[in-house]
Amino acid sequence: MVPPALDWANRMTLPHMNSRSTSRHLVLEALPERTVSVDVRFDDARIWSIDVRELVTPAEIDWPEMLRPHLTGSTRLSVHDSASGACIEAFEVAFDQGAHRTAVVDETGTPLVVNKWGRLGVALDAMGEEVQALIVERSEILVQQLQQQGLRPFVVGGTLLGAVRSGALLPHDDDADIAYLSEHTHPVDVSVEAFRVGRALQVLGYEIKRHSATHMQLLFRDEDRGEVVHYIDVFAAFFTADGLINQPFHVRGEMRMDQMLPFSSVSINGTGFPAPADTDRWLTINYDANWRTPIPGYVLETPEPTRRRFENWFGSFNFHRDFWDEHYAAQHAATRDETEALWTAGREWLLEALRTDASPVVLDVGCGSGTLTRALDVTLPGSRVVGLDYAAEALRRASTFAGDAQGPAYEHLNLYRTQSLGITAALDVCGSFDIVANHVLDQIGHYGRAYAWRLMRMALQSGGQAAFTFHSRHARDVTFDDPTGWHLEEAQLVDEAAAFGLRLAFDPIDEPLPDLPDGVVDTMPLARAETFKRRSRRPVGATVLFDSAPHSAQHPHSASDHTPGGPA
Amino acid sequence: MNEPNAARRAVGRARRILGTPHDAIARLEAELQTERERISRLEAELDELRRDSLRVAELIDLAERAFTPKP
Repeated sequence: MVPPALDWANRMTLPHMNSRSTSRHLVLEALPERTVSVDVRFDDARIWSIDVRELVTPAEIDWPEMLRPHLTGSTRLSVHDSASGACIEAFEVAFDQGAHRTAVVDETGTPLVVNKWGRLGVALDAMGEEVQALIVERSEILVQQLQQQGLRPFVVGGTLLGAVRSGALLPHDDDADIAYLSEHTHPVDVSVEAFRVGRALQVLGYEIKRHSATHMQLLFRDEDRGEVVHYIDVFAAFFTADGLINQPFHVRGEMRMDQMLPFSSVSINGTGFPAPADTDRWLTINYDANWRTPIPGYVLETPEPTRRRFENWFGSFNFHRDFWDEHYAAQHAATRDETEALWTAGREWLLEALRTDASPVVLDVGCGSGTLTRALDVTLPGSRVVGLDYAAEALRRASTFAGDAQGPAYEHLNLYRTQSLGITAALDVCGSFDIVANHVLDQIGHYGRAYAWRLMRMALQSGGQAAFTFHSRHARDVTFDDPTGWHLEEAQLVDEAAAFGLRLAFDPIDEPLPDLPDGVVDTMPLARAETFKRRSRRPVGATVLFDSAPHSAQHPHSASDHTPGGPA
Repeated sequence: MNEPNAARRAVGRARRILGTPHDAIARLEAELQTERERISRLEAELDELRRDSLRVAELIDLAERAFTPKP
């Protein structure tokens, strides 16, 4: 009998259930000896694979964060040995009172699995043979195109592993991995070459998402819906002067040139691809000596010194970009509404800041889905307003509001790149321009802020203005994974701005008490106001000014005219 | 009777030279902390030097594109 007051959000309650499992975590009571990886299936569809080599049973394993919103309704939850497919345990579970079957699918109904990054994605086995054949065909063409550029491409990562193990793509993987062996040994030369390679691929018509100087992702979209169907990763590989082979972001180890060249050949579904001369050596460096054992739940753990080296040499242009792409993807409307509400007061403050005296060009940096950009476009009919963001999904969403040619323009801008300083030239901006950023500086890393300060200084030097908003208190449930909960302190911003010859005038932003739902009477208005104030993230507006008077005097149009403590 | 006295004297001498175990541990911990801080400073410096590679590469790329006349 299920008591009516049972907490459905945290218990599974049907007969034959594993009584210790909950919707927060999965409990594996026992595993057969020598099990190295298990697949978790919902109604026999694989959802998640777990590397259990170092797991001590019974074990309580948290469901991945991204999976939790899908844990509704009921399902037959089964755990299988990844290698043999043998069922280890199975039970019917109900995650909540919903009558539906649990569905881990995207908006088109395509099954999703937890991928090697702990995110939900479409695995190759769910893409179907047709898409897999397309990936192989496209990879073959790409290899030829890279060869035509005078490069030495070869398959790496999961693609090489699948080819060597079974002559096919790994069913649990989600992409194809191709590297080219650069002749350069210095990271500067390797990066410059990689930028050139990326542009050459763009000229060939590829859509590229660049994760670092040496890692780009080629996106292949559905022609009708525009959704990404699959992607192919392209990496630069190179020997360093110390004789080690490098293939950022993960591979770095001892390898002789004769273990690399001349390339051998591997076959994927009957199509030949170049591979390192000694594939065993490469796969041992990439994975470990046990690479022959299939472990679908294997998680790449890049050694800290390697990660640190590669991130500094080649950057991390995609810092939290997956978060924002997912945030602006179609299926997260409710979360988007919540965060848009968090940014409303800041938006109003910036609109007021630029209401008079705006420059002919206004750049909305970190525009997201363009709510502020559109509002600026309406309130500043005499200005050209451009929304800028590094998340393709944000720009796609913003563009859907454009409607006609009269709306604001949206362009890609990545504050983690020096290239961002070229935005005014790319947009043919002449004369003064303004910069606004609504809750951007508090939601990016310090490398990104460095270029934001430079861009704001450029705006002031052009005779324009720069203003931004930020939360001065973090969310109560703040996590590293969710930048919307981050904050910055005024003192930190003052120090950072000073390093760029800038100073800041702060203005605490008033937040109106939210309206109560219709029919609800506020019996304790003072207590409600006090609670609201206590929980406030305390948004603040900041006007950016030159730190020294001579600068200000040279730019009569600059924000230095404005009184500290108020909007520009 | 003499042996324990000799041992006690030896221990006393060792303590005078090395200090008490507590002192020795505290000294080692302090040295370790100093070295840790030095390593952190060196690592941060190395990070900056390595990051210069990216800055230079991006600047070269930016300059090449900026100075290439449009067709």
